[in-house]
Amino acid sequence: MTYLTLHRPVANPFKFYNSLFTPFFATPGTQEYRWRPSADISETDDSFEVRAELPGVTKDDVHISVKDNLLTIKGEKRQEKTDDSKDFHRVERSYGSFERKFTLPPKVEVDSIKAEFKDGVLTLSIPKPEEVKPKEIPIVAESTVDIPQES
Amino acid sequence: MRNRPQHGPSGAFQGPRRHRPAQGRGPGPGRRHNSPPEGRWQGPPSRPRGPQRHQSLGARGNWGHRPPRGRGGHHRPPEFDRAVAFRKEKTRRGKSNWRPFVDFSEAEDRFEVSVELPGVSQNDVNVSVTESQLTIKGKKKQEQTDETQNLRRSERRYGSFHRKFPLPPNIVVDGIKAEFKDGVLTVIAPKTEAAKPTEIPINADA
Repeated sequence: MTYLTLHRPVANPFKFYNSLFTPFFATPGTQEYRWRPSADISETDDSFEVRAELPGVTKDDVHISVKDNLLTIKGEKRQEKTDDSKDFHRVERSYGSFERKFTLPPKVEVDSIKAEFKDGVLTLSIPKPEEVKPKEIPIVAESTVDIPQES
Repeated sequence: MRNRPQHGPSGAFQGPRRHRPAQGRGPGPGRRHNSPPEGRWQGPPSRPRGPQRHQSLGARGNWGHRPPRGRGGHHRPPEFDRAVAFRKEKTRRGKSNWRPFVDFSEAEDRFEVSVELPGVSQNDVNVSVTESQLTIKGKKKQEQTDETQNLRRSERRYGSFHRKFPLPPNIVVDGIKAEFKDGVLTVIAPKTEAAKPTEIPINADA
């Protein structure tokens, strides 16, 4: 049984050196994000569910895409715009773009994935393919089963 | 050495007596006040206790406060400690295992507190205000507490939370409004008229 897992790319061998000499070995296409929404993955008999916390993110700023069994949640959390300037006494919330990737189990129908956004929580429900779903095997009463007799 | 157990209840022989502590105080002249009796070397004399322990810091050393714990720590002035006290606000430990993130900002006419509460329904949040304190507490419940559901990965925190903020004196307590949208609770406290900046016109010399 394959589970819906977190996408873990191959470790970047230059990562340590990049932190020392950023301009020298910078690998294109990699971007460090300042925050990462936390997510729960749960499994029921017929679907997987991903719930990601995205407080203060509007629905239009979240983009979900699937490519090569890789589900990507991407977006940006913007600071609320106000007309006048504000002095911040305290900033604990983090803003900016984020990205999270999950590896889907094989044979998932991409069109059947549903996403819902409510109260700052993004819920993705990913139905399992038919062949993976657990099937009940009926128990047949003993008298009706024909047991081949050895002769 | 005070509550040292006796050697056997009936004085039975329990091996040779070694390092038996000397009875009574027997330090010679010039010894430290709590040094061990003569005999075995028990390490260097301990730091003096009592009021004389700060004497080595000098008269001006450490600004007259008790020295920092640990070694090599820099002294923090009390103003800094007061600022940090805001950060180390007390949450009832054991009852809540998470604290929602909060932004606290000030504009010309209001104070604004925004709290990230994703997945918390409006009925589960309680905002209360006293003259000097804003309290936000509530409970985050799991969406599904089904027996058939198996958590494969759990990063989110659930349970009750509790945060308190000191409010400045120059606000209108009756005018405080709270709004809940997209998992963010925003509390707006308007300032009193006296606290708002007033523009002073400059008269040109005619």
